[in-house]
Amino acid sequence: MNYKLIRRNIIIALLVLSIQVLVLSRVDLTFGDFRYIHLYLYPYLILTLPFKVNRYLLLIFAFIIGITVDIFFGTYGIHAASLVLFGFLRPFVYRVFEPKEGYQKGETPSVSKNGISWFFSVSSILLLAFCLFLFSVEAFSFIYLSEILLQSIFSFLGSMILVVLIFILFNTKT
Amino acid sequence: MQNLIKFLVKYGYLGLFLLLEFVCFTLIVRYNQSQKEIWIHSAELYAAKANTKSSNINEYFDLRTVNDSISQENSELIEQILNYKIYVEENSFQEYLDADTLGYQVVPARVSSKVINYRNNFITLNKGKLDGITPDMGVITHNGIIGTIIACSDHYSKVMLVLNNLSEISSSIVGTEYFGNLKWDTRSNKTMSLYAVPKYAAISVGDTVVTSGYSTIFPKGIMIGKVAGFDVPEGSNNYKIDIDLNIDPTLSDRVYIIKQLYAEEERMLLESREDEL
Repeated sequence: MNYKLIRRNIIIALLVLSIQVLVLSRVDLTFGDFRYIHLYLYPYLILTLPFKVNRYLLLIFAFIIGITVDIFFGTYGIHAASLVLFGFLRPFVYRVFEPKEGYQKGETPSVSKNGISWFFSVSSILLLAFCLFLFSVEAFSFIYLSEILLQSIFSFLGSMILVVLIFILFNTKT
Repeated sequence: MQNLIKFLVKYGYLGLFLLLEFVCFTLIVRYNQSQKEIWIHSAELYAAKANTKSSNINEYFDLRTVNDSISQENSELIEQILNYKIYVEENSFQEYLDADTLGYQVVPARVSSKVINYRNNFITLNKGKLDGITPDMGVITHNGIIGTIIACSDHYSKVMLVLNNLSEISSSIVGTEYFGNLKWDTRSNKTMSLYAVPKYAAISVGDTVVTSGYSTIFPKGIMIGKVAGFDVPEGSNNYKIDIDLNIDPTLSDRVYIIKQLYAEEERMLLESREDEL
């Protein structure tokens, strides 16, 4: 990775985090009693880290990003815990969906090389795990199981759309 | 050292993940009100559960002592009942209250080894001469008879089970005045046969059979079993009565030895009379 790319990624990271904490956290998707949709974009940052990134670094990044979001949400630890799980699972999921020729060193996931369907597969698995874990931790007790499942599924769908859109938007050029 | 590095390479990732999650959860239960409350509540709940479990386990380890003390209590109760019965039969309750030394003493014992499933069955008890046990004492449980002591060492005694070809117990049928000899016919551990009951005795299936008390081994009225069936063998004047034992003597673990106070004296008397005749 050259400096240009690093700078670009940092800018994207800041942009995504800003969108998350300044815009998405204030979007109110409540329709009467239906208040199950929460939009999460920041897992996108972990998804698009280079393929061959050091696994330990991946976990540390996830923790830092999670804590940053937590500070803005005022939910110390919840998002960090979920994102660390997300980062932990990423290498395993990526290995399952590894193309025949394998991942190249220094390469980041992109529409042109990996395709939309690949991105869709990995991000849906990881995001679903992320949402389930997040809302479980938020409820902190499985007596609210139906609530957890509803929130997880609808937030998963919402976030999924958002993440895929952003992925297409940022990566079609490269 | 090499192994340590290998271990770190293999599990370091998982380790870092768990460490970070631990940090996160610490933060969660520390700084989030609702999660904190749930955590504290659950922790208390589980601690209480764990405490109950551990105390249950401790109880289990105490069972031996508890059983011993219950066995001791039982033996005292059996002792009182036996003596009480004797005095009631003699219509002298006051004598029972006044008596200094009881006619029967009961000693609790545990079965320490068994030789069973043969034609002649024996068990060993953990009480011996030093506990005042001598041969020819009866051994019972709270609801049945076990056998007779035939030999004693200092700390152990050998019991000939009723399930033994050599064993013969004088027993009677409740409600009649007849009595007979209870023998084992080696068929099963729960059936015995009663011989020498005259065939004009009125008996029926289901009658209770108890010890007769016409010996120095068992006191009167100890439960043995129930009449399961009877017939008169050809050319005989006596019944052969099948008895279902109340208990399987080979399965008992805690038993009671009955000491009869003047048994030795009575036995000597009987023997001397025989000699004189």
